[in-house]
This record gives sequence, C-alpha cells and structure tokens, in this order.
Amino acid sequence: MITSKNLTKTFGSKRAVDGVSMVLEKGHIYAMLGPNGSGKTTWMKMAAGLMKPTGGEILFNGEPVGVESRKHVAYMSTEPYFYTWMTVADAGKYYADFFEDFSMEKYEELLRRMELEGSMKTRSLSSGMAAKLKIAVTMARDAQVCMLDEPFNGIDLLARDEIRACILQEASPEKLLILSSHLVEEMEAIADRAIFIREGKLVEVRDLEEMRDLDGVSMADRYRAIYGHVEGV
Amino acid sequence: MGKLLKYELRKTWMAKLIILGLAAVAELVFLGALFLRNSSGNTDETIGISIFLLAFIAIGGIMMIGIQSVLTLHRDMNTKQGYMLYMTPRNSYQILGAKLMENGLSIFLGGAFFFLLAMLDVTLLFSRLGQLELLWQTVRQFLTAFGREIPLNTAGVLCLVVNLLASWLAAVSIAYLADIISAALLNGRKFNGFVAFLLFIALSALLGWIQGLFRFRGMDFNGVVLIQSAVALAYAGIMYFVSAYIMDHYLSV
Repeated sequence: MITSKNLTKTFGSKRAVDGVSMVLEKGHIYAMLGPNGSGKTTWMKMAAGLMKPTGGEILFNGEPVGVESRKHVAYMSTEPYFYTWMTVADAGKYYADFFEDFSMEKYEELLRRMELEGSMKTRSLSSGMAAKLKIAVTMARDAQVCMLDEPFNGIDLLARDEIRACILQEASPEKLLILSSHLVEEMEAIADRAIFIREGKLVEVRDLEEMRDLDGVSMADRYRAIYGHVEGV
Repeated sequence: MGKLLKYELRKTWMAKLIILGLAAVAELVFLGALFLRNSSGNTDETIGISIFLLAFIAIGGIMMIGIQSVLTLHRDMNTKQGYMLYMTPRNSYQILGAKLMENGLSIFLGGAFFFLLAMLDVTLLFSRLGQLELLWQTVRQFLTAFGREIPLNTAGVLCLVVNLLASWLAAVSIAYLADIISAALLNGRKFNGFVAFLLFIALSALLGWIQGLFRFRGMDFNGVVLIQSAVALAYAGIMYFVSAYIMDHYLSV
C-alpha cells in the first residue's frame, strides 16, 4: 500500500531520513519507533505529501504520493495546525469540504467522546484538548491510510483509552494505520507490526507476534536492545 | 477551487471588515459635515479632513489587502497552519490560483467600491459646494496648458485606477514568487530573506521595463494606460505559473 524506496531527506548536511526502503501493507497497524530526531516525523510528512524527498521515492498504491494520494491518506501531525480563527465546528466543516471520506456524524460522535464542544475556539484549547481535536478530525475520515504522529502526546489517561479504542475500531483488513509514539508499552497493546528507525536509517520492520514467538522478546525489549546505547534514550 | 477560495476569503475577511468599518466612519463624518455645513456653521475643515481620511483609507486599504495576501501565503508556507492547506487533495496551481484570485477579486472589488464612493462623494461635493466645479475646471486647464495629456474625466480616471490596481496585483504576484522561492529553494540558506527581496526588486524592475516597451507613439493616454494594465496582468499570470511550478516541485511544509 505504501512503498518507500531508498527514501532520503536532508536538511543542510543532516540526513533526517537516510535511504529508507520498506513496504507497508494494508490490514496492519504499524508502530513507528525511534528516539527524538530519528526521522519518524519526516518520513510521515513525506508519506503525507507535505514534504518533498531529497532522494528516492514514496508510493501509494504504486503511484508517487501527491494530490491523488491525499484523498486517501489521513495524516495527523504532532504539532497543532488549525487556523486560529477556527472553532472546533469549523475544523470539522473544513475537513468535510475537502475530504470526501470525512463523516460529520462520526466527527460529532468523536467530539462527544473527547468532551469537546463545537463552539470552542481552537486557539484557546489546552494542548490536551487540541490533541484530542486533531485525533477527532483525522479519525472521522474513512481513509485507506491513517498516520498519527505521537497521538498520545499531552493526553490524559482517560482520553488515551478513548483514542486507543478509536484506533482499534478503525483497524480493518482494507486499512493501513501507522502510529508513532514514545510510549512503547502503549503501542504494544495496539500495533501488530513495528518499524524501528535510528538516525534516519531503517533498522527493521517486524511482525510483533512473530518476534514474540521466535525471539521471545516484546517490542519494548527490542526497543531497548536497539536504542539502549543511543544517547538520550 | 471554490472551496479554496472560500477559505482564502475567510482568512482575510477580518482585515477587510476593519477597512470597510474605517471607510464607513470617515464617510459618515464627510456626509455629516457636508449636510450640516449651513445649519451648523462652517464645517469645511471637517470636510477636508474626512476627504483626506477617505483617500488614505482607500489607498492604504487596497495596499493592505495585497500585503495581507502575501503575509497569509508566507504563514501558509512557514508555519504548521500550512498543513491545513497542503494536506488537502488540491495541487499547487489550485492553491495558489485561489490565493491570487481572492487577492485579485479583493483588490478590484475594493478598488471599484472606493472609486464609486469617490465619484459619489465628488458629485455630492460639487452639488453642495458649486464653486468647487470652477476649481476642478481650472486644474484641467492648468494640466492642458502644460501639455500633460492626462484626461481628467471619468474614463481617464477609471483607466488610471485600473492601471494602479493591475500594477498592484502584479506586485503582489511578484512578492508571491519571491516568497515561494525563499521558502522552497532558499530555505535554511544564509541571506535567504535578502535574496528574496532583491529578486522582488529585480522582477518589479523587469515589469517596469517591459511596460516601457509598450508605449507606442501616437497612442492616447487611456490606450497606453490600458495596454500597460494588460501587460501587468499578463506578467502576474506568468509569475503565477512559475510560482505554482516551484511550489509543486520543491516546497516542503
């Protein structure tokens, strides 16, 4: 569904993503893991078509990502990105205007679950509430690919349960979900595959069940093994 | 494109409301002073101040609309808000087209509004203060005597206004291109802003030079002004295509 071929992104002399090649298949929930600055967000932005690769290519169903793929790929950035003049209801209308797969009913249901009001101004939302709104607008789409960058950042425990439930509800054999998070244990309960990235390079993509059965290690154990020596982890 | 246009208008409507509000206040002061002139003594000073204010708001407002459009594009390319725009299934030609169209519409509708308001106010002024007609004729005779072929009639003024608006739209499109090059090609490089500014100056000078090529001998003032307006609009179109191409191929947000 998403194919990354020798994908590279440089910022000056820094290689944020360095020759990443992998194929991500539908019907799976991938946990994208790595310490800060490992290139997870940059990879996701390129998959969302927001960032142009310096080298290599990224394909959605065999075609380079672009206008067409954006109809089917939902991306939630880790930073708040709503226009400051928007209310929570405006954000939903905006998505409804641009994405055919957006369901206003589902959005309103998600707002109720996240305890958000349509009249709230996006600029006055707390960071936790803004994070919930990002989840609600993104998950209200019935996109073939859903990429959530740090979906649990700044979110309290109860809302985290709601988000986890939403993500699991979204999983289907026709969809591909990619989540990045530092909360490895949290991700282990949701994902069935893991992508380990270190310093812009792909370390490995693993099926978690297979990893547990064959190697006898959990995702958290593998994470420690890969990044344990990396500075700042 | 319609939906993009709707949101471009939504992003800038507050500034336009402020401009309209200020114009309404100045117009009310002008009308009040004009109609109370005889009953409340001499209000000529108030009339003069309100005319100055109206002219200032009209020129400043039109300039502000263009500047705000460039600032909005800048924000859309350099802040996280840009994700809202660039994650939509719309290409750069549509995104930039909506911005330029919104700006063009705003500039020309704003210009038309202030032009009509000025015409109305001048007519009212002449009808209330008959001696101003005499002053107007003197100015015309003065300009004619000095060989200035500027026709001070409605058509001439309209041509000048169209020229100013078209030139301003071209300036905004040049600023778009300079800003897009700065964000897409020079991002993170030293003197990025300065290079973009130099580019803006160079492209503006190029427009002036091209317009100069279209001053044909024997053509009347209105003809020259209209041809130069057409050149400015064509130049804005070229800037648009180059900008959208760069955006499409190189811009990362």
